[in-house]
Amino acid sequence: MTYVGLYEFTQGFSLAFHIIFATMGIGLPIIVFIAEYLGIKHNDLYYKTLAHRMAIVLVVLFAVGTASGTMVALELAFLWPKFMTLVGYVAIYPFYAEVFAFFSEAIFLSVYFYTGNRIKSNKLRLASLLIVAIAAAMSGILITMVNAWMNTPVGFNIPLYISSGFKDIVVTNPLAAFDTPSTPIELFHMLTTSILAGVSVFFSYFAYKLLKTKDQDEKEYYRRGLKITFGIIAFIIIFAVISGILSITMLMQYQPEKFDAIELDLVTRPNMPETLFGFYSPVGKTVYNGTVVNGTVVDGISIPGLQSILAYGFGKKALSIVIPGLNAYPRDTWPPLFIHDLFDMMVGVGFGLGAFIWLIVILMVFFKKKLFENKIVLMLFVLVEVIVLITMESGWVVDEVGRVPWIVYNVMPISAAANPSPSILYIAIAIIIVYICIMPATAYVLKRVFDARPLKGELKNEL
Amino acid sequence: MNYDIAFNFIVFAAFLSAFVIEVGLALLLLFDYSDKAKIMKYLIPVWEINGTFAIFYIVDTEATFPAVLVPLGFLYIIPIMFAGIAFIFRNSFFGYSEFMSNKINEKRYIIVYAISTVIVAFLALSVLNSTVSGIGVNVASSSLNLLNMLFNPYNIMMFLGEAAFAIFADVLIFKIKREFLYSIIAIILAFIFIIGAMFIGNISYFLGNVKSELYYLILPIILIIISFFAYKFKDSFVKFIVPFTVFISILSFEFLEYPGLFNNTLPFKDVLVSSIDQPLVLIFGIVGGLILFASLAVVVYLNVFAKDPKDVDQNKVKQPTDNGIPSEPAEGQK
Repeated sequence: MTYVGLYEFTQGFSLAFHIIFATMGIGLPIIVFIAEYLGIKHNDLYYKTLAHRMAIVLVVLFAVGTASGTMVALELAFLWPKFMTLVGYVAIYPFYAEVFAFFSEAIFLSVYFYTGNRIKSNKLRLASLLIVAIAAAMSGILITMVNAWMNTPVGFNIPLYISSGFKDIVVTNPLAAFDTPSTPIELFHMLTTSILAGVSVFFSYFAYKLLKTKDQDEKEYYRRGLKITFGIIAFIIIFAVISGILSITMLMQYQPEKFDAIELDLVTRPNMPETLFGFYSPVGKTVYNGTVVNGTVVDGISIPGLQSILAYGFGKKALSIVIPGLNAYPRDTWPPLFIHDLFDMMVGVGFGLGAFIWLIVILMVFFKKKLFENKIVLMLFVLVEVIVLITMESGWVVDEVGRVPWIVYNVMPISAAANPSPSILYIAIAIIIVYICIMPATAYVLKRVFDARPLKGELKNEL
Repeated sequence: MNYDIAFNFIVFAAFLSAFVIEVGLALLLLFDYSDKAKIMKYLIPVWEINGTFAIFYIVDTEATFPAVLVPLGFLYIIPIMFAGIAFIFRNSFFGYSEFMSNKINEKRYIIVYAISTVIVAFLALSVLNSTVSGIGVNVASSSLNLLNMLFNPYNIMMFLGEAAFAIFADVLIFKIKREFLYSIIAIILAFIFIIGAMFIGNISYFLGNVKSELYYLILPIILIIISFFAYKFKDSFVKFIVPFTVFISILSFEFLEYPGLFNNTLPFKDVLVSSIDQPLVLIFGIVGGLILFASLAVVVYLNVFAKDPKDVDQNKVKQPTDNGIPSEPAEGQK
């Protein structure tokens, strides 16, 4: 493995772990806020206890997530210094603003958790939690702005920067990173999927505990947790699906190579088929209307014209629009094509999950089924988190690997951004070991924390 | 001095003041765990904010000196990454320790936190000391002798001086055993080590600045003297004046370090953001700094001035509500 490959692996590995903490950090404050609000509104002990116990999880996750985020920030700065230099000139303000969102989250979490007993007004206590939830979402939004800028870079003289060998940076709009062509849709998709992924962890946890417990009080407690998280998931999954559809449309316009790799479109043509799953094989040739492309798609299901219909609608005119394929771009700018299968899996699982959740909603609302007491349904709920986690990580890999070979799309290749220092090997190994340990260590500590504070005892104390 | 550089120095001084106070507490925890109760009372609400301050400084540095990342990234990648790993341990183990009901485990976790914090401090301050002195660094060939950078007499003496300064501040702020005597010993040691380090490291431009701009040292010295006698005043005055002294001392030290890095071989102005962007960087920093200041004021108010209902009336009986469930007098989480 080259040192650039090692950097990529280390950064990717760290981010793959960090986004789990980050999504929980976005989803959990919403759960705590709703539980606290319902607890106050209905003077409900179970909701209050839920808010209290979930706040403990929030503090621990925030601590670990902050450290993990700092490590990722250091990796960005020191593994990719050329890239961060460009960011420093052109796209630093979202990062800068993110620091203050981060600060607000840290400060108001501290206010709610450590000094909440000194705030007499319920409204002010709720306000501090609301600030935590908004600040956590803002952190994600501002970081994603930088990611959107990496996908659709603007705000500086790009031809001059490239022709000078990545030396001359002339900034034309220092605030452009806040509003690139891909920013609104990326933010929409990031926010909805992060909430979905973060909340799903606790949804499945509540379902699992509800399955296991026989105690009536505990059942009441976990049922409330399940109600809150299920409500959020049912609401947000609609927007996650919509934002996903918008994202693919945006890719078609602004990152065509990534789009082609996702769709496995090898040849430029009208009446484009939709290829479900399948692999790219370098063996053989694909021929269309006189155009010859090296390699073929194998083992896929091809549905004639469907991609053109999905992109441009029905009708002859839509089918006649030419969609550029990968053959329109130099071979060395094609992203790794395995992202096609990850994408298809993500879409399939995402739609399947949406359908399942809304089937449950319909059965509960219109047919008055008490599904939160049904063991099979609860078992399926436990699986939701695994499914969402796989979907989220797949989506993230598709987005990041889909930009390869660029770190800043069509501007800076990954190799040009890397730190040329050869002394990274042992640090990379150390970072990977730390990340492998940190997740189970946190889960273990949280388990011990709650073992030492049994729910039954806490409820009794409150009563 | 350029306003952006001055602002970056102020952010750095604020960050380092908070961190130095924390490092001093980590050292005190390692020396004598019996002071834990006093120390944790301070650490628990602010340790996370201290960590966030580090990111504020890193981002402000990226915005103010974007061109500095390439040389620093190449040179200091190993100590900074190891500091990052130690930082993960610091955060995780403090976070874990907070909710441990088992005292033995809690102590273990806090000790790991304290050791990690001292390691972060040693590595981070070594990098900072090296950027001042240039020892262990060959700027021309962009190479670093890591062992030389970490274990040269200048760096060791500087770190001991910084640690002694941290202990001086913490002993006074938290009134830790024989505060007057220990703080005097600590500050004398801090002066001996830091001045000694400057001579051993032959930081010629710095020593030259000390001679020509001696006035930078007058205010810190006055504040240090006031700090000694602060224990005669109200507790809240001590808690204000000592951190302020730390802040001004660090800031003065930075002004003496101006105008360059690596024993003045890399001037700050050479790596400064373009003049067109400078006002925007400053505005972002100031607006964000004001938001931060206002938010921290809420924390200070709640910690220092607002009364805990439990303190007001320990024997308050829970009042039954309409549904028979007693209302909670407080939502205290711990």
